[in-house]
Amino acid sequence: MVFSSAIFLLYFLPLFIVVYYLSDKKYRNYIIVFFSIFFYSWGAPQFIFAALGITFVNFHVVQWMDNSRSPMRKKVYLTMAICVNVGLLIYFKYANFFVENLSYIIMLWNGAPIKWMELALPVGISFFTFESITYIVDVYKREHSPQKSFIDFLTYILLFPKLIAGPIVRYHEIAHQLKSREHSLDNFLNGFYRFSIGLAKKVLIANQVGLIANHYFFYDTSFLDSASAWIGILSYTFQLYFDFSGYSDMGIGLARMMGFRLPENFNSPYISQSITEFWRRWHITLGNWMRNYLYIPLGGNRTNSKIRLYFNLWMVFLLSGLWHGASWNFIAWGLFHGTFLVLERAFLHTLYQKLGAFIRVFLTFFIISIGWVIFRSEDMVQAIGYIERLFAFQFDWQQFCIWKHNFYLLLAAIFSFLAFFKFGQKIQATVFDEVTHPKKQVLQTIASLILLLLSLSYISASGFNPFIYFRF
Amino acid sequence: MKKVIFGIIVLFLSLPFLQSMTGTFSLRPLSGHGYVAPDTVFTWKKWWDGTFQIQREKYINDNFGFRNLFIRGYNEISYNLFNKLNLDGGVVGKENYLYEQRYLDAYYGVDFLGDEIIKEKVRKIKRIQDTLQKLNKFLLIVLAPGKGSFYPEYFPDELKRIKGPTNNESYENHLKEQVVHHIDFNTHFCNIKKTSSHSLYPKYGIHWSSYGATLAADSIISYLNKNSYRKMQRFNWHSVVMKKSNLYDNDMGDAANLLITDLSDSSAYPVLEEVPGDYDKISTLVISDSFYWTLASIGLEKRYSKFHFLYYNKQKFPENMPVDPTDLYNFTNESDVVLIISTEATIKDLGWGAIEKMYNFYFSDFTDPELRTKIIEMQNYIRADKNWSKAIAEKANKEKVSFDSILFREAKWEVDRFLKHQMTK
Repeated sequence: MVFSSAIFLLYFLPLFIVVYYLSDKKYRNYIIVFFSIFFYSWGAPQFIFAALGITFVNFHVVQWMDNSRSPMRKKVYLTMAICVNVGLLIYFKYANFFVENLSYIIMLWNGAPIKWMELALPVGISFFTFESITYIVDVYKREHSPQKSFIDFLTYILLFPKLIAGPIVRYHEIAHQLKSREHSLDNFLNGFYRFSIGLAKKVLIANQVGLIANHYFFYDTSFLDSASAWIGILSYTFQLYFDFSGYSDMGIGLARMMGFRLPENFNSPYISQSITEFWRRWHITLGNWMRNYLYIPLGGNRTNSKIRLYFNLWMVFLLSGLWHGASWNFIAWGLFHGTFLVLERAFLHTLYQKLGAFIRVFLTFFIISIGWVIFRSEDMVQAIGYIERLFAFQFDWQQFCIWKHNFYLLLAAIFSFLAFFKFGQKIQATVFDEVTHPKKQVLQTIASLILLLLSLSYISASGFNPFIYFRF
Repeated sequence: MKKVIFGIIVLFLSLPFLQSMTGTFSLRPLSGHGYVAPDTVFTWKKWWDGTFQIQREKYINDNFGFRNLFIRGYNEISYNLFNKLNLDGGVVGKENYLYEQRYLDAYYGVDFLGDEIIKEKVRKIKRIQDTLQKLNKFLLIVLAPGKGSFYPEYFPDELKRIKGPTNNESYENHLKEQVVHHIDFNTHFCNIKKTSSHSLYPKYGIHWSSYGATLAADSIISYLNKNSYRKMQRFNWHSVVMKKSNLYDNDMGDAANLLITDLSDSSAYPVLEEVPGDYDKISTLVISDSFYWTLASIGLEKRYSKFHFLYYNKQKFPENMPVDPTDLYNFTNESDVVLIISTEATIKDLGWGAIEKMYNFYFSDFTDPELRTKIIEMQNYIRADKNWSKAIAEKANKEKVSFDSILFREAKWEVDRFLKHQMTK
């Protein structure tokens, strides 16, 4: 079930709100768990047991780990828990990829390909595995005591607003909220406003520019002129941002409606003035996770050797690419970003300082867009072909004259770069900041309901494309 | 105040569900073909394999409360902001003239098959016509008008292109050249466009106007009376009523499903009177695209003793059933007149396989009824085989010929092969 579907918006959500707010506070986590299990099993009934099973194992192993006095035994439990979680992630997410590549190599040596039944990927496994790891590690490092209530732990892992697409919430960020959180009308309303904005970002912008991107990426790259290729990749660049950040906004908003405060996941990433800054603004919770649970344990910045530092950066981004999906494209994309991060550390930062902020934003956006070509393409052949078309300098100018395309691209560009300007920051603050004044709340409610209505219109129409001869 | 806002939000979110349960508010239904997903019954097995969820979600998507209103809202935005119709192939032209893309393509010759292919097809039609004539049956080809040819001046600028040879022009030339009975309303309507007292083609419709169809029906009856040695009842009209366009004159405007903007205007409707006298009631087979429906709406069917309408040679009416492989042969045998009607946008598939099928019946190099039966059986066998049928469809598409002609070729080849094998045994 996705947030931007009729079944979620018009059935699941109102029912959940009514049940949640009519029930006693002490039962609300039970209600969250019940609805989250339903939410998850709606799309992946076969995997809910795996998710519940691994959560159960984590809960108990971490308790054993915490109770054991011997540091050695603690380490054993830690290693065991991490191996189980990472093992499951590797098995479900990467086994197909590894077997496929191994078969390819074997076939190169005239061997027979490995017989293998392709595995289905459990939805959200990358997110809840990473969250489970934060719990295990945080408790191990004594940053937080282990959760005593299994229901509260299930609430943390399965909380439906963040279950499928994040944000990745570290255990210590939410631990205290599992026991006591503020159920206020202000929280509910501000959550609803945030949810409506997220929904609009997803439905009114991401889906629309996504149609343009799909149109251009559908073609064999040799048929593309440069104008089409640029429109295609710009559309995809905006689609990714509005899709993902829209979903994060919806998740944050929904959680807020239940009294939770989840960490932010995006902060106008396309106004970044370097790739390093981009990774502080894009998928922030993944960046933080990678830094805390991978980069720092690898040695982070505190290495004496520059080579080692660059290797760490590269490794983190290679794994970050792989986290996004089991494909060579994602690995290449991770390495692409890793390379720029290394280059920035080596000399690009110094060079950037000589340029104006506008040029830095432009350059960074340009590099990011090229990176998205690798990310979006079916394989490396398409990616290279597409990049070639971008720089073929053969322009069919008519492609720039499609008003509908221009409208959505313009809208996406305005909202993406708004925060670059001071007045834009003010507008953003007005929209996203806490609203507690009743008059402002009335205005924001009206605006949110309009966005919801528009989004519902777009969702309804997406499956309705009539054929006029019905009556004949 | 905050509690009130909270209540409003919850009510707002719940209203569509309540509407779908109670249907309290009666809403204007949507026009246009819309497949509505059926509901499903819950079983654990369906839940486990996910089919229940998929089907249920589809059902909800098609049936939630106020869906019509939401869709109309989207269409209104799309129309006003982007000049777009949320309609299969719909195009908004200048001054809001509505088209379908394929009419523009046909006008510019984008779908042109090539002169040789059309010449060959007309040769077949001519042979069928002559054979039917010997059997005291009359074949008439009707080239219905096309909105592309009738209103090229309202095409949106961005869709204008250089005009090439078209299927319609090529058919018209070859039909004339090979002396096949036909009426070319496409050219005729364009010729009388400026002098006609009422619009022959509606602004918001994709088919001929009721007024235009009435003129066409009158011409078809006159043509048949003159050339087929039969006397069909004619009609007259002394007056024409101007009123809000009906569904036939406003099909696209109606199917645009807008919320506020009214895409309709008024159209001319002749008040028809039957001309009294003694007439023949003739048995007719019509093979046509959707242009026939307007002719039927003005009462052409009253003049038949028996009639069969094969809509795109796929669905038969009045039964409203899929066409059987033997229907064409049987209906042709039963009929005095065979009408094949096609507009410029559909003429590339003229007859929709019926011409090739008829030709095979009458002129294949097999005259032995037993052999014919074998081939028909083989055709049915191939049709029932999904993969084989798919391969034939792909071949037909590649060779730009009808599915039936390839089907016949394959079936005949298989039967020949079988017979040769039998002989060598």
